[in-house]
Amino acid sequence: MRRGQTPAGGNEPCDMRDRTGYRNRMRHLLLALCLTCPALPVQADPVAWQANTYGMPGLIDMPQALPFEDATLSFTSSHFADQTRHSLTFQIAPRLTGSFRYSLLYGISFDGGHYIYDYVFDRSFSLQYQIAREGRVMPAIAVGMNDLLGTGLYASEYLVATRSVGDHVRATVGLGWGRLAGVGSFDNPLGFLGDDWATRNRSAYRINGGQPLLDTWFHGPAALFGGVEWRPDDDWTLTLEYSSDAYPLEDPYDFTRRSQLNFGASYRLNDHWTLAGHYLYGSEIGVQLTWGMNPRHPRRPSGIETAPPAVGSGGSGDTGTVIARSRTALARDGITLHGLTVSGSTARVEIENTRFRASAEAVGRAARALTATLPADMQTIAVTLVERGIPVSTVTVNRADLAELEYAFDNAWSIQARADIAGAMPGTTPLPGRYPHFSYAITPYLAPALFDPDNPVRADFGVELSADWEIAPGLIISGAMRHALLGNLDESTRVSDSVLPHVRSDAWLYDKADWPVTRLTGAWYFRPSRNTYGRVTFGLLERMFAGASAELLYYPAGSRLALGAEIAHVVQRDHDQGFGFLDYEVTTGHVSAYWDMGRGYHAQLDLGRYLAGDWGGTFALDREFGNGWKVGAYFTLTDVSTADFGEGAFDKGIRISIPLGWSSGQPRRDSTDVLIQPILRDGGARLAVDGRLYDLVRPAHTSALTDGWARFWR
Amino acid sequence: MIRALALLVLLAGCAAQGQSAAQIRAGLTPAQLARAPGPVLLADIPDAGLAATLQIAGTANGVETWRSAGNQTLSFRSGVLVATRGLGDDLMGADVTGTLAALRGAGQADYPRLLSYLDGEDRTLLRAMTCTMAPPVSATVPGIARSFPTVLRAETCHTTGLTVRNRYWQDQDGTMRRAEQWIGPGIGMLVTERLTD
Repeated sequence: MRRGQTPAGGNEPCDMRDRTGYRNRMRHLLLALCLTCPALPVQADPVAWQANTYGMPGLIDMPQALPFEDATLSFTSSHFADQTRHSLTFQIAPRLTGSFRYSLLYGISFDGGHYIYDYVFDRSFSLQYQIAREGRVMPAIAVGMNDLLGTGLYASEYLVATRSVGDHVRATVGLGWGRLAGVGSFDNPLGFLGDDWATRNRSAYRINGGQPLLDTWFHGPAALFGGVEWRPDDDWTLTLEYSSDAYPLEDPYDFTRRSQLNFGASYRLNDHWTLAGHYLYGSEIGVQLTWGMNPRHPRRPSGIETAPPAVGSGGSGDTGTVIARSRTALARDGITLHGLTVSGSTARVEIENTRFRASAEAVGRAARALTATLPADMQTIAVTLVERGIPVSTVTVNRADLAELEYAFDNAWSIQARADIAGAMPGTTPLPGRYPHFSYAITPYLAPALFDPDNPVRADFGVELSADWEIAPGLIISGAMRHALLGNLDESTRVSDSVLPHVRSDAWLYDKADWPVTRLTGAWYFRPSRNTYGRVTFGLLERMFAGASAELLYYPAGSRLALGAEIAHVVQRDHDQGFGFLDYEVTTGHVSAYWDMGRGYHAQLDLGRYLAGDWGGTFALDREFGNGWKVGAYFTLTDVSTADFGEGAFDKGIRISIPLGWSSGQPRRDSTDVLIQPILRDGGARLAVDGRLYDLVRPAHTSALTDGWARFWR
Repeated sequence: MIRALALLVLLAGCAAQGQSAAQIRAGLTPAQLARAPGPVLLADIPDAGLAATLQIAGTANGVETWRSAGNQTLSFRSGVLVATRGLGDDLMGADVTGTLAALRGAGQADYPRLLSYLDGEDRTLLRAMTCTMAPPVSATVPGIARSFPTVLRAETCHTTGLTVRNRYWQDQDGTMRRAEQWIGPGIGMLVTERLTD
């Protein structure tokens, strides 16, 4: 990305005229664009007023056709008749809503009352897609499916239409299949598609679940449902619905239906919390609490980090003085000076950013700080971002441009147009004293294990002691130990019934270790060529495996596609996580493709051999926000049969990454990762080695720099 | 979570957190101001609960930047706000050419004021307002050591669904003695008072 960089000492008068012209054109363009920009959010397409008992946009127990506001993340707990549903719902795209649900059901029967289960803890997943937005006449129309991959306990599909009647009333009518065709059902209107569409021939419940049963979707009889919502003001919503759900597993063992009419009232407590009360099926009272937020709207979008250094006019002194002053100036912003060399009028500066999530902000601050410490005749400053000793990207700016644009209205675009943002050349020139470097940290940790079939929430809280010894650029010895202070991970007694090698399912045994060495490795990070990155790691790679791992990543500057290959030979560690090993070893490895699809969507495909020796692939799709939030899901299919895999049929999960500075506005690079993996089994299990190259390189890659460029002047 | 964002007073003996601008002002004496190493600006952002005294940090390209003890900055072009840093929802930049012309008694009847922010996803968010400046009236700004005769101009800026009112008190040589200016939707109005020269 080399665009219109002004060479130092260029034709000044012409240059000035050019720039002024550019700015004036820009101003007029902006004005034309912006006089139509509203001050308040654009009146967007209508969004749902409330979540239903499944946490999806809906009425009370039934769905409706509107989505939530794009990117809304919500958590709903809904309870009635010995049944509690906890749902995590994400508006994946403006029209696509997804929900993961953990339900606790007591006193239900799958066989017409012959056997009544004391309890069933069930995991299910729903998707809804809005086919058409509401038009002048036409209602909004959506199609949805419940319990796509789970046990089928809630299995149902629907087509639903919702229409606004004025600003305060909405009416919904839907056609349901499966569980939503329990009452008042008629022959499947899709029967013309074939004889087998008339019946729904699978049993309602599959104990191991996990697979989509495409041949039941939209099959069998159908029934109508519907309702009306009235929202007299922004806080209250009153709902009347006709449900088509007969509650076949619950009625009459758990509760008795007397009516299909449900009544609901929901009250918005504040921007995040909504409380609802329901009167259901003529016999039951239900309560529901919803917490919602939107990752796109942090309270402090610019952050509360202190003001950046001002552009200076240049320092003086000998090289040693300049380096010392530069180091001090950068350290104020949490930036480590890794190297500084001078050639002609160009200063080449290598920095390590430890504070700012957006690399562009670190570069912008470093460049401005250096204008004050570097001699005035250093007209060009080339800032290289270094991660674990490897140079990733270089941003080259002119001192004169920084001075001129510091307070210009359009300075973010202007400096981007004049700067050169490129991949860094391999090799660094570290300052004397940078290596070797020893550091250590004592940090708290929280290790949750969510949605265990026996216990919804297990977690450990404790301290982690970690240390890094950087011997030379890219050469790092590091280790970590943990000690749980409180928690219940060690209370699990769920002995693995896996027929595969127990590569992950013995986690409960590993959780009992007292002072586990979670990691002790020697790693070498390097740049084999201009577009590639390399890593070799050996030692105690993770909690359960030790060995050697090597990785190569091809990720050219400016590219939105990266390709990687990784191979490892590992032996399973003893459960006490000391230096002993079990009698299992395996060669594992993958080839990977990483694709930044634009608009925040990222896809990753890994193909290869997993820890249990199974071959297959993992597909992951994440939605990432410019502020660091990530919400995504993945699944892994391997040559392990669903029967051998056990409960869940194949590995899948939902992952959320929350930047730790998002809520407070403080500048931080770290984030907390939540993985909701319904069941931890042995098929499709991947080695968890630290320092995978794509994650390491990407924050400093040219694509991240340009995506976050608006923070250059922050 | 309520955060006390570095409400520090620079002047010796006056450091305090959580003070309102009125409290800070009441605690300042002419003698203290005279001892200050340079000009002192009192800034108040009532909606964000922020108040502080600031000292001048530097001047570049006609922009004066003032810094608080907590290292938050406010930058002005001839007293008109063009940038803030460290407030949580900063004004990243502004084009106030029209306002400056109107304050000189020149320029168009309607003129634009362009503002730029960061949205929640690290992208530039632009906002354009159309402004008009009312005719000047005389007004006195009561200072701490003495009062200042000034000319008061009120500016009304609007965009769809929003109207804000900025006011500028300038003395004879054009120095902004006092100003009330809208920073943005996130943190509202900024009231500044130049306590000493």
